[in-house]
Amino acid sequence: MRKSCGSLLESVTGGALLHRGGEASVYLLKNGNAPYVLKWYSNGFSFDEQVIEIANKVRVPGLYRIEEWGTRNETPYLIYDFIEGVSSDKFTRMPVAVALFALRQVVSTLAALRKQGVSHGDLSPANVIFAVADGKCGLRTVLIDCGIVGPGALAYAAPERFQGKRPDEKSDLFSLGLLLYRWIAGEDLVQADGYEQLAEQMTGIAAINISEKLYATGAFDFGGGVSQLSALEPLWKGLVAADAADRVEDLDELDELLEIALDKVGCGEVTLASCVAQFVETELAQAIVSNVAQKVPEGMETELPFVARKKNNWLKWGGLGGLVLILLLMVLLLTSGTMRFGIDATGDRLLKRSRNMDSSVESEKAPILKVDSLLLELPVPAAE
Amino acid sequence: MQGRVVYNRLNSCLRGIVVALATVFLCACSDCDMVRGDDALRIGDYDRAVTSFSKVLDQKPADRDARYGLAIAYYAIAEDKERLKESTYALWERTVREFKILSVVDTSEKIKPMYSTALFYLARAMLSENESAKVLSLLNLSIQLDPSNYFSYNLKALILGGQGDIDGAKKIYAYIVTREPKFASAYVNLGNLYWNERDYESAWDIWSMGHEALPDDPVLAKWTKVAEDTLKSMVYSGKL
Repeated sequence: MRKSCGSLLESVTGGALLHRGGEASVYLLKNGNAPYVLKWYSNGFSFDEQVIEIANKVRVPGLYRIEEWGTRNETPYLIYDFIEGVSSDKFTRMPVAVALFALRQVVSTLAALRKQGVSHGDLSPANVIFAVADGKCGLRTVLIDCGIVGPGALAYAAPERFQGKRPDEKSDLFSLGLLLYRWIAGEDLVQADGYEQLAEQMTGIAAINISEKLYATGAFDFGGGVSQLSALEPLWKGLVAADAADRVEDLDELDELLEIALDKVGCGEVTLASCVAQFVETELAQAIVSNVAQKVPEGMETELPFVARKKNNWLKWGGLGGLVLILLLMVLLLTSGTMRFGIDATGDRLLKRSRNMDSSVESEKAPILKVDSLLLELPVPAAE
Repeated sequence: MQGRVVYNRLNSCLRGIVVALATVFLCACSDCDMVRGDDALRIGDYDRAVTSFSKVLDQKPADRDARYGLAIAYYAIAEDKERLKESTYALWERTVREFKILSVVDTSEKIKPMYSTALFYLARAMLSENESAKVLSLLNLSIQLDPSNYFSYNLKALILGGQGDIDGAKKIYAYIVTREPKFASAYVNLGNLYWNERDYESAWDIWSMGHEALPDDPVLAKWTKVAEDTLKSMVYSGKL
């Protein structure tokens, strides 16, 4: 349970249903200015409180931030910070380099969890959110939904999970293999109806020739496609093995394999950065914009599973309005006394002129800041 | 006696009014100079802008707008000289000095991009005067003031490359093209580094990537073609 006094559910000012699934219903909540996600578990489903308690203490950018958990109306629930992004199951297929890059981020987050003795247990495309980041490549993956009770998403569960075993590092490694396949191929490696059939297929997964199956998707039908397929081979071998003993030793070894694979698919630092940046720009940013379901609601929907307390806020709003008015007056006084917008505007115009980025060339019209042409003579390439 | 007291009171009252009027007059004058400086800046009469803002600063040395106006005027004068390809070292030194004073009066983020650009120009002018001038500290300050000033990054990389720190230079260029894919010079310079190392494939890789991002840039088009021809000739001659 959250340590601070009072539940977030008490002060919710808006909310809407995002998704109703078998395991839980997911709501987007507004509490003041902050959006949160509420996971309201269905009858018979729950989460491992011990895992949530530990995950709550792990503060890494790749893991969702849990704000509160508990039971209300005899129903388990969990609240976490809203992540401005798109779950990775919304993408059909993505470039191999992007998939490998994203998986390395997921592996790093899982390693941080492992240090605290926790495994995720429900790795699936729906539980990895792709978000836009400020960093070098602009992509951030965020893991959600740790600590499930049960085998998790069946199409990604390791064979031993079907036998009722608790999740561990090895079972997460198996799921990561299937996750990587889904990202690259755009479809699940194992497709079957029902628990029994899926369990059977997972146990006999060695019979599937993954490279052949990938080639058949048509995604590798280009020059260099075959070498990409062969670069991925060690990953399938080390992850998608029915016997846990045949999988790679741990997440560190997987990270090394991913680094090697990235190298083999011909991704230097610059190429990788631009490939990921292009994916973010063309696919992710658009997906986020078009994800209208993520709009934070202003009002309350009648379907919310709990009753939020309504407060008489007129005093608060009155005080706030007065404060805003005083602030506005102060700003007006200050600006009218000291600031001349003309000078600032002239400064902005001059700066814009300085930083224009027309072509970089050695010509009469060379832009003023093109240091390469002004300071250094370009070397004349001397062909052998 | 009573008449004298009334006279004295009236006298001090009048003196007060005169002082108040004089203050208002002075303020009005400095306001006039501010408006004059502002107008002069706007129409590109930078020398007159310098005179007007200087008059205001004589009265009120800590006036933020007059300081900013003066700094901008110096900046514009120096930048105009850049176009004539004359020595600008003294002008940029004066501009940077003014921005340094301004940064004491105005600690907001507003002035930082221009201060950063002035530092870049100063570093470049110093290098024009003396190729071995030590300007890295100026460029580091420029980048610190405005981390999106890729011109300063670019110049820093050029210097590092010149000093033999090729890996350091490459990292900076890669950083620039990742953050600002339309920054043509970084592609050109990064390709150059590879070319000088006789890594023609990587040079082609970078130049062609730049050419793809900036198809109208003739330098990138030219070097992409040169690298392409070189690679072809190497293939035909069996050297690749």
